[in-house]
Amino acid sequence: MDYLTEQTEREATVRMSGRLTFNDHAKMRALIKELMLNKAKQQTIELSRLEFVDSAGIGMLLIAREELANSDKQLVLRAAGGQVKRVFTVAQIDKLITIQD
Amino acid sequence: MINRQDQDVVLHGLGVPAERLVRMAEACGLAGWRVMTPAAAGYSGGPPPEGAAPGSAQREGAEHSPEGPDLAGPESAGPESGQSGADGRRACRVGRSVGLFCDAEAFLNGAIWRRPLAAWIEVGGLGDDTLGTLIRSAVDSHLFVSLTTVTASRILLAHQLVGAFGDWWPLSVETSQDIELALHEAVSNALLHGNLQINGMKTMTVGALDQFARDVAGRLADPSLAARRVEVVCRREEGTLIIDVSDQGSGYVPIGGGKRGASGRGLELIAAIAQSFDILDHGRRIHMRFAL
Repeated sequence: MDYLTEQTEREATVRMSGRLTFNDHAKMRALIKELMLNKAKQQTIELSRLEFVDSAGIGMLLIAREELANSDKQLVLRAAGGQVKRVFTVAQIDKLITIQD
Repeated sequence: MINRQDQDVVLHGLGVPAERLVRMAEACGLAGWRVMTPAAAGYSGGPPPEGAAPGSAQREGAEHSPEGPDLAGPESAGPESGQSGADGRRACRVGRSVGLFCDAEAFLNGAIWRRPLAAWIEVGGLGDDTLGTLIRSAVDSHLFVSLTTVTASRILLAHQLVGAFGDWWPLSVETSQDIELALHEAVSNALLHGNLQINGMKTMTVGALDQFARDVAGRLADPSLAARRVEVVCRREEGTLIIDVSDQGSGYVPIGGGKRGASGRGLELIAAIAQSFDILDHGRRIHMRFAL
């Protein structure tokens, strides 16, 4: 998995690409640290270029959501497609995290 | 099921001494053998195998090796892959090979996960008896993989294997994605919870993530855990793909119903995708069935 961060005053957007699996724990740790340091109240992870996510990847996204919520910030997942969208549906994670098309 | 009497299976070896390859092919009653070099396997790297003729790309068991496509790039996987939809046995008669790999780096290369190879065995420290048992299991399967934990954790095993399956029996994109996810979850469970005996992330905190990362690195650094095997057996029967994933851990039977942290969704995903699945061998094997 790779990611790029873009920031405006009110919103930070992370563009994620590649495959997000249990092997990416170090990168996810770094990403969550960046999000925590960021002052924007709404933080979006844009997933249109993410090709594959597994249950551990979902778990790490939920950790990011939880840690941000503890700092009074909101995490939104946007533009998931293909396999990623399918996994979100199967795992019903829309009940746990905000998902936008 | 594959018909072993067809005698159609050739043993390929990458980095395996030629005399051992001959010995294993004969012991397992295979049709022939072939020494692969990294270049012939479609990737560069690693030393040439001991016993390979200098300057030659491949050496073959002269008497029995069938004519057929070399193990090489996509061209050998090309036109034939579409013809085999209805009859798995017939498809497998076309130059099916079992690959023995001494050089684990080879598994990182996509080119080796193609026809005619239908089985991928990491030799590691295995003796002839164990290796022979694995080769015979491979002959009796449509696709077969046996890797050490350390190697399996470095590669996209489910992705490569589902791609290899599609090489023999084309799959729709959706079916292929679903099976890849279920297989990936089963392999991850076998590696992390089975062989490495790591607990899931119990809470949704970075602390749990850090602990998980430390556990993975720490357990993989233990040679006895890193050398444990994960095995994947694929069999195709009328409209169904049956996949067994097994590990050498102490047995892991998930407990449902408890409070869940960041982990624990793998089996749910498998349950949502597969027609059915069972946990067998005291939690060391998952048996999954998929509609094709």
